[in-house]
Amino acid sequence: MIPRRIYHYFIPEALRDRQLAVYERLCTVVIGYIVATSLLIILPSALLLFFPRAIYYYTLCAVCIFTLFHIKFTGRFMFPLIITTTISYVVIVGNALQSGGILSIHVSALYLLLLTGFWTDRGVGKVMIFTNLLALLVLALNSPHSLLYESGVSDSSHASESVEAAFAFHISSTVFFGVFFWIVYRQYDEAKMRIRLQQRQQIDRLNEAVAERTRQLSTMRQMLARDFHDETGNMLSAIIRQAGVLRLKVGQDKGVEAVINNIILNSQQLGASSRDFLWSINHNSDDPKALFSYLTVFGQQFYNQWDIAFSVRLHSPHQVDGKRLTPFVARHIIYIFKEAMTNVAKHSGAREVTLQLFMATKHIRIILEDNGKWKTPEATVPHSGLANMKKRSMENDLIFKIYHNEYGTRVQLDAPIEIRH
Amino acid sequence: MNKRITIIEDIAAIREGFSAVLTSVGKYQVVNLYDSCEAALANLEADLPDVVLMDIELPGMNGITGTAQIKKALPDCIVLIITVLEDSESVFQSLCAGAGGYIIKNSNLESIVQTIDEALAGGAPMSLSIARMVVESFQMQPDSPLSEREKGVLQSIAEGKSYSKIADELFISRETVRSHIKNIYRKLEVSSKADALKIAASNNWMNRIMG
Repeated sequence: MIPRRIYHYFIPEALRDRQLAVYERLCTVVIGYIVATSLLIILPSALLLFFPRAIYYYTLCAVCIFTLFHIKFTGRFMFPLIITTTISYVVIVGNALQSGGILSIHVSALYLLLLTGFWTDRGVGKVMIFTNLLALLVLALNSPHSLLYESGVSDSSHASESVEAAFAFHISSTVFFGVFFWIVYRQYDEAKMRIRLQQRQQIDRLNEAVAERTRQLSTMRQMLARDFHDETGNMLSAIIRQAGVLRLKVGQDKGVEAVINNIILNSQQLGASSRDFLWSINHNSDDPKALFSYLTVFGQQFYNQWDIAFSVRLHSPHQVDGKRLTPFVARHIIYIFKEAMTNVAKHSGAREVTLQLFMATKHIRIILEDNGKWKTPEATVPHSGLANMKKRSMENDLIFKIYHNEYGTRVQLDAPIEIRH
Repeated sequence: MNKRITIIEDIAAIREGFSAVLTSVGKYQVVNLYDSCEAALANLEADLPDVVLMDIELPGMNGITGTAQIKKALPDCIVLIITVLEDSESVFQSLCAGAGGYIIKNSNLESIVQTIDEALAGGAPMSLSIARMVVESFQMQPDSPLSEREKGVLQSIAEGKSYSKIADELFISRETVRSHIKNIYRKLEVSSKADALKIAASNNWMNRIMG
């Protein structure tokens, strides 16, 4: 009924978490105080027409506002709750004493107070049964024409009986309402607890099912990798080796040799791309650090074939924690940088290559820099590596840029990241 | 004199493929091909290989145990693991067992020849993943047997640097980097054996076997 943003305003940000046990109690208390404050602004205005002392209820209103801000800044409510309750008793009992004591209509406010006490906190409610009884005793003892302190001498037997009767009636009503609220709220709490327990059990069951599914997927991934290693990898190796034998046997036939070389090259590329694919379906592939590590392994192994000094730099590694790449984008980033690293070795004549990972709030930046010479791709080649890199970047929300001058070339790629648990 | 090579690989196409291309180079003599470690070990004295190309997953005795057996019988023989993936745990175990390096099965001829020649000349390859496993392995020992220079080379490989980068930074040649790697592998093998003995002693296996 009350918009969440209103009661959340009075709950400290750190405590606005459904998982916290205190969150629900804080919501109950804050909502209670918001309702009480609103009613205490409106209702005494009407009462003021008949009873000037109703102005004291505005004191209570001020205390309620103070409590709301106290909760907002401290996250605690018990101390201001006790203050509010005490001031409420002072106002109600004070008003009652000024208008007939136990016979006053203000006594009815004690029941409202008891109800709000139980609603806010069960413990406070239980204590308030006894406080209400004590307040009634004080009112009875201080009521005019009471037999209890006028030692049986009275000019109005009707009034004396009324005070006693009112005292007995209010005592009974307080005990009745106290026990009633106590039992009703206890049942309500137990029912709430049961529902919460069921919800927790259901969440546990779901978590277990998700964990089981994750285990199955992980096993499947491992099986895929093992199958690739044992079967596909070995079969591709067999094709490559047999093609090598064939190349030796055909001798000088250039046409056939070119075909065989293509078979070998394609088989090697199939092996490499299968490996990239298997890695990318691994659950860690959306971790920027794991991706950077994979590119590092490739770069190191690749540049070891040439006399090229390759090194990597990971900037602000701690900022990467908890941040993930968009699912399935890792494979495209691997493709782009493998292509870029190959181009450096093949075309630039670079002596030094550096791969770097930078972190920003909403994206990562991977940079490959070399000290070689830029070679403009031939316009006659329709599907050049550079065009493919750009196309892949556009299709996957990646920002791809190339800078080059006489000192070298920089390939730069920005990929969005998000916090995921 | 041509270097003597034996190949242990259970897939005939790969075995024969390696044999054919290595023979074509002219500087190696492929003395025998085997589909199991047991068969290779039975003929080891007759073959007297300088280099053994060894698969890991084999029927019967696996390549890791096979490597240890060959190194025990012929300590100077270089065992090179042939593998699909270079960064697997079993490659690392083979290196602990005494292998001097590894060759990727998909590699082209030049790369295979380069690895064999470098191994024969006293060098060896090492990938980042293997370097990290080696670092971890040595970290578990209280007294590292590695020299400061070897530690530097190992650390640089584990950080992803290429041989040329390491050579530039340490003012040494690429060949020296490879020779340091070979020494690291040798010390890894020695320390792995020492570890195995320690574990065996702590489990009282030695006494049971001896008794």
